[in-house]
Amino acid sequence: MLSGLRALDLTNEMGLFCGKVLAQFGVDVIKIERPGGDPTRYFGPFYHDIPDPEKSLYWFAYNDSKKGITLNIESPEGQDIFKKLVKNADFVLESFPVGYMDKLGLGYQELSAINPRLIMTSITPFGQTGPYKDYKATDIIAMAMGGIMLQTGEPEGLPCRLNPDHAYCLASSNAALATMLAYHYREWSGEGQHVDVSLVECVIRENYREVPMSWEIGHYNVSRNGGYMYRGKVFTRNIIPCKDGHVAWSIFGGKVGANDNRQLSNWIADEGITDELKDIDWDQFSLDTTTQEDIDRIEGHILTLTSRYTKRELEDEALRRGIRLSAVNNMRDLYESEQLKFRKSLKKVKYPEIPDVITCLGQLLISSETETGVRSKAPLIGEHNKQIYEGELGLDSKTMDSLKDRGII
Amino acid sequence: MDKKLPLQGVKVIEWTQSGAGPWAGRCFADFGAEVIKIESTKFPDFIRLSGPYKDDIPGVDRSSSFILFNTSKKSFTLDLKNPRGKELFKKLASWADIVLQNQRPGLMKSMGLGYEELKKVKEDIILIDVSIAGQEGPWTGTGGWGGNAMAQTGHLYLYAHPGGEPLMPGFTATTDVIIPLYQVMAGIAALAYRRRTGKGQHIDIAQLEPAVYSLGPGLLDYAVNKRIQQPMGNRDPRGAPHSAFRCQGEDKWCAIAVFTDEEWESFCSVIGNPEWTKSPKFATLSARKENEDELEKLVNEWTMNYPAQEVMVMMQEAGIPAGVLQTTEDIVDYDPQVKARELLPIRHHPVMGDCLHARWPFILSKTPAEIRTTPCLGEHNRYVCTEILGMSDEEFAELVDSEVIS
Repeated sequence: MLSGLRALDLTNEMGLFCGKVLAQFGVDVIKIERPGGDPTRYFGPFYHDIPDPEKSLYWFAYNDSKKGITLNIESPEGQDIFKKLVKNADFVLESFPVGYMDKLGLGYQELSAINPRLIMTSITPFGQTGPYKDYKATDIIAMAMGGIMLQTGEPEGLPCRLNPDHAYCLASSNAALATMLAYHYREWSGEGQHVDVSLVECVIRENYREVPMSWEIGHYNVSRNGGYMYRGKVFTRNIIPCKDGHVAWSIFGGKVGANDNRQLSNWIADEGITDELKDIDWDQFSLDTTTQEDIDRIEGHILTLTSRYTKRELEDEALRRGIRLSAVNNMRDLYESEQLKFRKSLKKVKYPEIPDVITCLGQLLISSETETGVRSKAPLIGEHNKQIYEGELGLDSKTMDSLKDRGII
Repeated sequence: MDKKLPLQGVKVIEWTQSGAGPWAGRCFADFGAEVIKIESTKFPDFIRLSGPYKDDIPGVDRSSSFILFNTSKKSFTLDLKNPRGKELFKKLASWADIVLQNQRPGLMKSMGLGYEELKKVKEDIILIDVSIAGQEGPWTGTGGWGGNAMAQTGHLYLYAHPGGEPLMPGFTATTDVIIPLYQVMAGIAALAYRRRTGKGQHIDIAQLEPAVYSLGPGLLDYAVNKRIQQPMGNRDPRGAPHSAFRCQGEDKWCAIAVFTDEEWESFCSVIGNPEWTKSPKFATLSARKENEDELEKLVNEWTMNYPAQEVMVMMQEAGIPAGVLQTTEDIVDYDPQVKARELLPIRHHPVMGDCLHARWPFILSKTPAEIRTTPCLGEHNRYVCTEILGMSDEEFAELVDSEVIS
């Protein structure tokens, strides 16, 4: 959908996913690595567990559909080459510390003088301004400052961050969206601009259920409740153990929950566990007027049911009965899922250098008009140097050799 | 409008509920699109019916949850079960560029308001459907809330300490936050496609795809190595110490993340180079990873003597990534960064009065978002009928009397 646009991607692990998302929408994304290769190429897991910068699955996952060139932007010649690339670029994506690009003479002011239509998107730990702007934050720090970590864990126990790179992918997705908003503006105004994305702010906003309202309006801080949720008056389970793992189901009151609650009561009765739940008037049921004792008793019956079946059996039967219950899927469940197969979401990508064909998730959405998803494998170190430097910038092979010898490309 | 907003001139109607749909509509609206939110008094967006409420008094215009997802929009109440209501919906669709919906899969189509029907009234309409598993397929059931989506997309499985049970991140449905970003991106990309080709399109977004995309390395690990990624909790293969550490006070913690040897040396010097830091057990990253339980215990013994904020500042000043595990109160009332960057601006709500309306976590230098308060239920009925649909006051009154608008 966004063909004909180009992004220069200078990001580290905080922003790699941003360029990948833009590439899935059709943007021509050129990942610029330092000569010798990007440090994230050493991040595992690796293809067949062989630690090799050309076999990092981490690198593959966040850089497929991009082209790759090497360039030392800390050298004056490297900076000149970068500026030449900027002339024909639509987006620059970067995640260096605040002020680093300015120091190199590659800040937004300088680059927009070369190309006023340029959109420069900067992803930083705390944003470009404010008292913490020079502080460092990695994924876990952002999860901590954003408030999500303190409310995840067993009561009184060690707080837990979510999956690795959670904050990074969230910030990258926000950055891709912000870049597109700036792009839409440019299409009718002709003006580029600088986009300032804060990693920590992304997590604070992810914590939408609590910030600001639970404190501002409800005057409470959320505590850690394991697989339960605090619903104002009572605690209810969202994660329920079953024979081979867990399923997710939540009780809701009133119209929102009545059908689920009724169907589940029937199922529990059909299993011969109890008829008691069928007698509850689910239309009138409310979490505001129910006691914890009632909830615990209802959930006890549900546990008896779930302990008899696997998560897939439970989800399949729930689908038949119209109950909103879902399996807690792992990577195998997803990779082998009938749903991703049905949607043709998994795509084969050729990696001729390994050589192998890897089947990965390669579809972002289904459109009636156009494909949106993976377009090519992740690049090798400097794979597109020749194409970009010789083919587009017109450097001759002698100059290329000289730049290589001096560690600029 | 003196201020320039990126999406000004874009027209959106949304028929959405809860979080994942309305949040996308909010982004369109905050950045300048005209967004008409369709509800009815019988079936308002059910988030209007969930608290916390202003002064603890329930009411469709008193829910602070509603504010989160619905700023800068206009509210129009329409009975979509009434054939005349459907006609009005189609009339609005013929005005709109984009229709957003997150009703139960198949519902819109079964009501005669699917893509083919909308295309008849507006050839180049862009319809964006969003659901957990997609509009069709074996997992497409009755939908669900964010708790289901986190489970189905593989996220919840990973929200745990190593070997531990999956954990709820409070009441937060994390994938509900990720997906709206993709709905808006799809809308902007579809508008670009329409400018180029003149064609609209039908977009089916399943949480399953974008949410699993962000778990890419784990999925490839299964694809290639047939290994099922297990939760890592606070651990990270590339760093140690790397966790939350207990600080002075009740339930006070600071996260510290040491990756490089340089950071490790700075870290040792901040904590006063105690004897144990010189042990070969902690000399290299791989040694620290091997003895991580003991390392964490020793770090805890040091952090416990200081307030969390002080630990963060000491570490940060030595160049080590560190951050307090903030409470909601910390973020709303005390975080100086949140204040300096005005992440939580105050707006006046006609019923709730002055209250906080969070902005987006990014700032566009020339065209920042313009956040206006949320609409009361049906607040813009007259506006929509007379200004957008061009009805007379009498026609509008008749629609209200016959409860088409209700």
